[in-house]
Amino acid sequence: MRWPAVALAFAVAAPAPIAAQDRTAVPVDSTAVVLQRARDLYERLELERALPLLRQVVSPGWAFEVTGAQRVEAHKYLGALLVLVGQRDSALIQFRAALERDAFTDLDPLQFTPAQVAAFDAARRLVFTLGVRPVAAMRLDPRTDHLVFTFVTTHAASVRAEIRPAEQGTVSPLFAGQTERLREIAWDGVLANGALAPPGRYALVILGQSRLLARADSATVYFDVRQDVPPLEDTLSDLRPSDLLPERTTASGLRADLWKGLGVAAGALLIANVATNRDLGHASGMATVMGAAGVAAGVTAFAGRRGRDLPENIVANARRRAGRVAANDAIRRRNADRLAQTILLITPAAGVAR
Amino acid sequence: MTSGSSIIWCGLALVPALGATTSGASAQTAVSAFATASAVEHRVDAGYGVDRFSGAVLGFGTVVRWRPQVVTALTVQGGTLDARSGDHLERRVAEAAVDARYIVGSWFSLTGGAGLRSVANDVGRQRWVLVRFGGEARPAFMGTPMRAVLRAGVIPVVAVPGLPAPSLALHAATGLEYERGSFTFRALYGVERFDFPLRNGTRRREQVSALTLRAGVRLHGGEP
Repeated sequence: MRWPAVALAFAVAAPAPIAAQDRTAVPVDSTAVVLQRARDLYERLELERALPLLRQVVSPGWAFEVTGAQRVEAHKYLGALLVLVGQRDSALIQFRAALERDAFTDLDPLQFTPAQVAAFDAARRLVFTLGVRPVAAMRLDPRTDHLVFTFVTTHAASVRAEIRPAEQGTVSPLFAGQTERLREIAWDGVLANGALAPPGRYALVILGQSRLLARADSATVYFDVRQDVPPLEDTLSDLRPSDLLPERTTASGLRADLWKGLGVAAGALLIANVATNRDLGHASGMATVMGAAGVAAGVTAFAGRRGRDLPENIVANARRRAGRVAANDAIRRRNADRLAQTILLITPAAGVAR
Repeated sequence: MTSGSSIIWCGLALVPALGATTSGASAQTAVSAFATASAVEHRVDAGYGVDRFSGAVLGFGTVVRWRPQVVTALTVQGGTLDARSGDHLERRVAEAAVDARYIVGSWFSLTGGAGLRSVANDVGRQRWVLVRFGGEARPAFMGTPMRAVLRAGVIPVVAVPGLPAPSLALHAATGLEYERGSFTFRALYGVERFDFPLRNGTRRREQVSALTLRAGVRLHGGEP
């Protein structure tokens, strides 16, 4: 491979003028523009011009804002560039810096030389970090779908992944075992207790122990769960005393019965004497019969029935109670059928992946 | 009251009953059948003194509870009323009526209904169209499966060929109802009063009193 030799030749041939030219070509510019410029120079193998740009971006004195992703990219390209110029140890330091910031950092073998990829792999073995991708918003049908979590370790590790409610609650293990580099784990929305995840905030926590180094790391990603449930029916409320018939006679009830009977008698007399037309003559025979029946009914209901059970009312109340229980059972069955169709709405939440 | 407007009033009175049928046969529908026997007295004063007719009228019908609050009844009855004085012809009475009851409380209902009544003798026939509105109280006795029945209302539509609309037409009834298992028994005393306005120097008055015994049996569903 002739990459290092070519790069070195460029670097030795004209360092001062190019650097001066870069100073004039890098005015007050943003990090993104400088990074893009460095990448372009790197692609054109103008390594000696790309190097100071990348060093500027990762230096503490860089005046512009640098995002985490930009810093990782700068370290990665800086490492790759240093491999090309033969400074492998320095390259490993840059690769480690990139990996420590983002465990998902990788070198595409189609874009980088085998020497660079080998150096990067070496850096992987020297650092241990875990990374997990943020959760994407989705509708999760627990009967058919899965929420896929993606996490990565820089090298072989023993990993335990679990879902924890953000507040208190049962921890649901998702994965425990050996893994290396990228791994996906699927979750169907069901917690360890067998129940669908209730609405709330959850965290996927990944704990890892390096198998090469005496190091451990963890990563956490938060997400919210809401349940999209078809509207449920309310069960019938408990029967109030006013909904039930008296099961024993009471003095006040019997007095009321007496008045009802007397009311029928009074009504009959009222009809016969007031509602009828006096000009057509007096007619009291039928009214008398009905009035007597009313008095008899009232007196019979009143007399001698105090404190007695009212079996028909007891039966009627039992029927009402049974009817209510049956109706509520039916409602619960229908609600259970609807709950089985619950969809989980997953959205990313505050507290992002490391 | 013209016969045309009478028909309209009859139609309006039937609305509750017909409207109740649109829900179809729900689980709450209850049907019962009943038979009636009435002692009826009909008094008429057409300006020539009070004529009295009395006799037995038999009938039958059906009650349908369409919804918990809506009950309709169809009644057909007929009989012969003998003149209490010898110089009058007996009267043959027949009636078909549809009544609806809308229950607005545990013991109170609004009522409405329409009826076609025929009063005939060997000489002629008189057809009455009646539309009734009113209220009905049915408080239950605590100690027994019995209810008191108190009913009153007006008859705003009374269409009789050859007669003007009455200046006063009302109905009232009182009685007792007893329920035992699927059977219902009722004794009811009721009066219909019609005071017609002065016409050609005479004022016509009519009154129908009835003591009715009714026995019903539940055929389908719960409480009728």
